[in-house]
Amino acid sequence: MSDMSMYIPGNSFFHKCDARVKMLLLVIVSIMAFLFHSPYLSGFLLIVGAVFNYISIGNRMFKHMLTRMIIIMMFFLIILHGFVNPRGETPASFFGQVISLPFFGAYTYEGFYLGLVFWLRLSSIIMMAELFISTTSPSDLIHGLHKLGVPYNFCFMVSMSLQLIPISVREAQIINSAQRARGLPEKSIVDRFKGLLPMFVPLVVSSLERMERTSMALECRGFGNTNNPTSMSDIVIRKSDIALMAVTLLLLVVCVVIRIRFGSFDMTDHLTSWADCFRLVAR
Amino acid sequence: MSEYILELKDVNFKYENAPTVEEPALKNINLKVKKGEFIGVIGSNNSGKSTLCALCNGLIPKALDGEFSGQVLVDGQDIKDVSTAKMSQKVGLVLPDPEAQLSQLTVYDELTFGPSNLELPREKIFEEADRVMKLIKLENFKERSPFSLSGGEQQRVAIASVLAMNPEILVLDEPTSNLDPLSTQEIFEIICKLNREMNMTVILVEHEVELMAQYVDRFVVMDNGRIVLDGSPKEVFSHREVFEQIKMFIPTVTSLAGEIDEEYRKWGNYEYPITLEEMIKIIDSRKE
Amino acid sequence: MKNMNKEVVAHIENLEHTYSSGHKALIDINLDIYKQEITAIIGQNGSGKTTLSKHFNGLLRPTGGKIFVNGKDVASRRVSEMAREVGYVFQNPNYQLFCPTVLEEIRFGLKNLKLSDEQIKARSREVIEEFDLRGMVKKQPVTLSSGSKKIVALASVYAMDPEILFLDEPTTGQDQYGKTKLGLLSRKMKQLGKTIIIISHDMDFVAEYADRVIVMNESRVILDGTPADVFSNEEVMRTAHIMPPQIYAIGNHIHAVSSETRLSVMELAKVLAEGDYCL
Repeated sequence: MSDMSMYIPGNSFFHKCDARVKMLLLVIVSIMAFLFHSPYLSGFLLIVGAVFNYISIGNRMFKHMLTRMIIIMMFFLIILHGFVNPRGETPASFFGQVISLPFFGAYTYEGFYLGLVFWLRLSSIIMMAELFISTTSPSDLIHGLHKLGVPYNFCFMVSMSLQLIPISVREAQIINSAQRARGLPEKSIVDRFKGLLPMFVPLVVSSLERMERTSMALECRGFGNTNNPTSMSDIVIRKSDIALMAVTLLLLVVCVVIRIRFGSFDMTDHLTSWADCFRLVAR
Repeated sequence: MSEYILELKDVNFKYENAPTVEEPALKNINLKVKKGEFIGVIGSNNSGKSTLCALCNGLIPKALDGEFSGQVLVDGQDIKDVSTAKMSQKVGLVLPDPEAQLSQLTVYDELTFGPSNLELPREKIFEEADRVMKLIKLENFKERSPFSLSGGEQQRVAIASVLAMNPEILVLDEPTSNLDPLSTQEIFEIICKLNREMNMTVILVEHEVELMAQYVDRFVVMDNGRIVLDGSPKEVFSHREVFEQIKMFIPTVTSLAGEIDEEYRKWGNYEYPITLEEMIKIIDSRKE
Repeated sequence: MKNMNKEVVAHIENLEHTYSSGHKALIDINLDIYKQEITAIIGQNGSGKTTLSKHFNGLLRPTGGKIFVNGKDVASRRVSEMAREVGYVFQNPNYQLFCPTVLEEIRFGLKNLKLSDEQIKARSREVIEEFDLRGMVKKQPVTLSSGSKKIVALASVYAMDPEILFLDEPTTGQDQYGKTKLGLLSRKMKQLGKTIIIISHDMDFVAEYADRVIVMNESRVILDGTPADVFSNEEVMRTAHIMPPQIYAIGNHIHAVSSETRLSVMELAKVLAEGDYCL
């Protein structure tokens, strides 16, 4: 169950941090990542995010689905992208040689640069999202949303959906076994396509029946009696949470000011060497 | 204060859309339950047992539609004058599918869910949740996701979450039908404890006739929407023809005694046993 | 073993199954399943019963040892292929039923076998007669009672004419009438030449209908014999946390369980009436 929700229980600073603060952190980091073109800020955010993750969940970070996603994207966005980006003009020199692919042409500095920037932006956001998801229990997340003013019914729907996904996945697996046991062919793609109905109908019927039973059970527990059930969550904003928020907000303000005064540090039109990719100002 | 904690008077009910195809209409139901009684309800799958359960806590006619006539009184008060939320504080209902009754993200949330819907103050809610957690011995599961538990553990959580509303009557509709024998035994023991130690009025619908015979004070037998027998276990099981007619079994020991008596006339003056212990006692005493 | 003369339909050698979590669900299983017998596998949850049953049609593969069905190693065959020889009826019929009518449900398996239209029609008619489903042929399976759903699921698996039929907890949620019906159907299928394997928690059902009972505990087979052999072995019953049916509990108490297949109420009544026992 915990593998589905990607939450990893623990006792770190971020685990104890209020869910709302973490949500805000994620939003701020997302904005900051897109403020500049230069790889430095997003790179910094990615490293900070990785460190926070390591502090919070240790080695399990490397097995986390989101970390893997970051690594896979690196392959696509840095290696592949270097060949395919249409803005690529200047072929990159690898120890004097140029690497070329048949249909796409040479590996270019622009391709590399744009790929790197995009990857760093996305990855820093994903890393922060990983921090958020792995240190916030679904229960605290829902309570946080509710405290922010989201209507109770909506919060309830979100939490029920979170439950429903692993249940449906499990049922789909059983149904799949059950139908294969009746000889449902599994060889060709056409077979697999035809196999959707025998999978789909039992799953839907089963889900509908369960929902019927769950709604009766909810009635028995007074659900629907009020739009404002007593809030049970203990989440409280600590001083350290406020400090964290303050620091991040300050950083955001500083970045916005720099952006307004100095621009986005976009080097794409000035690339002639590897060193150029990492400059802040054009020569 | 009524003499009876629950009374069904001339109740007739016909579903508009039955939740399962097996539920028939209920005809002419009359039932009087005293405080602290442990009643076992038995009958075949289409006898109306689940409908009876839904009547006890007001789900019928409030949440489930159909033609309803008659009266259901809880502690002297007609349930049609009471909201389902208020009723849940008087009559708790546990359903057959353990997993479907759970909706929260942790077991503890599950226990606080009911009382929080009643808008009770936080301290009171924590009190109730802690009380039932101790009662049903769920401390080790407090922060776990209910969906990571086994069927038996889930059903214990479901029972506890209903008990957190502090009802006086607990109605259980086939709580062990999806469970293995060990979990079934566990659930039965919990229910028995609630009845014996806390004087909780229990209405238990089940198929496990032999197990029920050990615990219940009274059996209500249903067939095709009607109550056909209502009395103490020994009284009820003495009507073997009725059981044959409605295609239900009585405990093996009772049939065995009947066979020895009728076929061999060697039973003597003993009452027919309804539990294994009783039978063994009789066998041991006869040998002497 | 007593069944030296019977044909073996499934042969299991040193079967082991260890899940990726490290849990050893099956340890050193050696068994033969004989033709035209109703074999019951009993044991607590977690004893390995379900894991073992899923090896018969390839839903699970051995991590050690082998399993042969009709002489052929199951490991090299697909699940959908195995469906011709091993029919598996899941505990919850809702997971298998999906067609608009009962008739189509029965035909589903037959179509998967790629039979001709003629053959499909003939076989469906046969099965409908055998299972007494004529009145339900046009009904929607999802609207049937739980007992009827179980029978339709069973019929649709039986229609594929497998040698072995697996019934996973067939009596869950059933009333006495439903259980009796399933029990009698099992006997009928056995008479028609099928081998039935039942996984069950329902000891009364097993005692009544099984010819042979295999007891599993902690990933191993700890006892294998007739219902009388098994339910009279009080030590094994305790180890496996199984409560024998009342009739055997009494039979054990008066030491009156012979090594016949099963004890009946009539037999026990006679013994008790004649006083021919000791405590």
